[in-house]
Amino acid sequence: MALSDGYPVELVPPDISAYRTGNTGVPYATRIPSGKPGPEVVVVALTHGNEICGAITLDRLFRQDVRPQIGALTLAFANVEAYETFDPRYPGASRFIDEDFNRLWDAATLDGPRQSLELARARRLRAIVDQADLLLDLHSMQHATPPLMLAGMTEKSLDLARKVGVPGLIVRDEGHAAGRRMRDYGDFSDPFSPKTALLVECGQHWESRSAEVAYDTTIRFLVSVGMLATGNPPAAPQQVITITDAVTIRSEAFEFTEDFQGMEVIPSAGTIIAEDEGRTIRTPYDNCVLIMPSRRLSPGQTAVRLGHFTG
Amino acid sequence: MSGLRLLPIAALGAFLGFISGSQAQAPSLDVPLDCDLGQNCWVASYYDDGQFSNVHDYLCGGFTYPGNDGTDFAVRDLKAAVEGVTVTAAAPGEILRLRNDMPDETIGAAGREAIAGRECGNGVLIDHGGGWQTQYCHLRLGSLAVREGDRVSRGQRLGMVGLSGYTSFPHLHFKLTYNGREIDPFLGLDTPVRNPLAVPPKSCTAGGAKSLWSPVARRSIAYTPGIAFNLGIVAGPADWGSARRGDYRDARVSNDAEAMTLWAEILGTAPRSEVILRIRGPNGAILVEQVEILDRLSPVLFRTLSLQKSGEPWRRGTYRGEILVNRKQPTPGLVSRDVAVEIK
Repeated sequence: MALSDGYPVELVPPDISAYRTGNTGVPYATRIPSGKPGPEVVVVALTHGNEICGAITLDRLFRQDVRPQIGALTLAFANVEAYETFDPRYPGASRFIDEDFNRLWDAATLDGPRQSLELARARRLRAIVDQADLLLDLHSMQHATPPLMLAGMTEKSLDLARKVGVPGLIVRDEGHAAGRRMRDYGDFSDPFSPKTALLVECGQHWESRSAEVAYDTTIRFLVSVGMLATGNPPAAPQQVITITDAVTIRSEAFEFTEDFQGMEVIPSAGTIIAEDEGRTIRTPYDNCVLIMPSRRLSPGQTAVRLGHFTG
Repeated sequence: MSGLRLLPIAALGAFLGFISGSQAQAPSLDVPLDCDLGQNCWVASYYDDGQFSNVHDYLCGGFTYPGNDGTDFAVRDLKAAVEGVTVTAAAPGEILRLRNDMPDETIGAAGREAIAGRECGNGVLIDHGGGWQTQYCHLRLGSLAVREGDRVSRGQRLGMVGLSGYTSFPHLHFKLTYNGREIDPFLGLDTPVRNPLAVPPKSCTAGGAKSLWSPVARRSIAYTPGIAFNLGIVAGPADWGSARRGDYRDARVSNDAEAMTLWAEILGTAPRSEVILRIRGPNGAILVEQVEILDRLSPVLFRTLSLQKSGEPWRRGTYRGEILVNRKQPTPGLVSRDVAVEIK
């Protein structure tokens, strides 16, 4: 069945051309040192070109002349070329140019011979990401579901997500079969390494609220890692969802049985949620939570992730 | 003819202090590092004696990671590795193979594919005879002090702890095999054979009676999950990366510092463990305390506790930071460490 669409574009994409030169040697990446010892912290926006809440947040931080009190803060716009194609009449079309920027983050792909616009950009941005002790990647979602923090499976990233305190949902997951995310790159996924990354989904791509969530989360993240002095106000208790299965699309015939928006809790195990060329996708257990069902139903991509509340 | 000559072989072995059968020829293993365990080096992870998801160490605790085929010994931080910690032969033997040309970089920087088949990094393989071999991994580039074919004695220097191969922190991965089979040195030949088809047992039985560690090693290898192996007090906030690099070594706190932070890297915490951080003032009174009950198992945690200056300069004297971890499993136990800083 057809999936719902047509969310109004409430956000105005900011002009980020002033940040092109930067000071790192990597276009659209600006490092702001404190002059004091401390962590290298990186905040990334526009990993997907149509997720503009992150661009608004970084633009706002630049305009506020944000200054870290320890270490160094780097603000980076990732897939700028895709962003520059953003057209509010076709807001979903600017996610990427050649391929998903957030499925390229393993050494074999980055060091390999394959070429694409996104790979070229990832190879340049890699120097920034390699230096990061802590990284926050700002995203938004197709559907208007509650914001959530994707924290991977390590305890260190769960700890950091709890320190940040928002959004109210923390999702622990392994990522996608289609390729590795920046959040999972290198030592970020190693439980023994101090390097830690989070990915926040701030709400629906173009709803104005997503920009507020992105900004609030970023400020709280910077406070949590000691970059900003102000304390974080108390936040409501967070819930943790652990992903157990990622449903990867096998055929063009993949179809959900309902217009799932995400965060639906399916009460009974065995409930059919999708069909995929003879394959029936059923919920594996009672009270299964559907996370971020996709509208881009292409073979090899993740259709939906299945999880359950674990804390 | 003396009675001794008439003893059966096994009984003779027992009389001489051996265990039995093949284990009679097993090497008695010393700690393969020139360091003081519990003071400047620590067991970071034990051998995984479980099957599949049933991951556990030799005492049925979670102080391991899935498929760990050896014992991992960590040093405090990167600075400690740079200063140099010597890797030594756990028992006499002959150097069978070695590698000494891989860079010291984390697996995240190197990439798994780039080191495929060379996960050990710079390392040494020693044959002890009777089918027993030991392997020493992740040594520092260019640090090897032996050559293939060398005979080495117990405690002889092999190289230095490094960061080569599949690793993200400076440590020695020490692996023992018997006729190619992976052996947990804490269990000897009682080590369960890895079998992907095996049904994990419903319960775990703690072992260790057939440990192959030497009496000297056994005295120093205390089972201390929850130990704060890297800790300190700094002025201002503290971050994990700086702590791991060793940037906070010799940190000073002035009497006008805005805040002081007690920080710690804690190894092997089990669910339901109670983690307590405290800062005591010069008179011994607790100035601030943080108590946390963990809900998950974690191979390593970084925790901080900050104390803000309250207008007046800090009172001069010794401030003490305490880290206590009260574990409930696999057996109850309390481990603690403390650190002091002088404000002048």
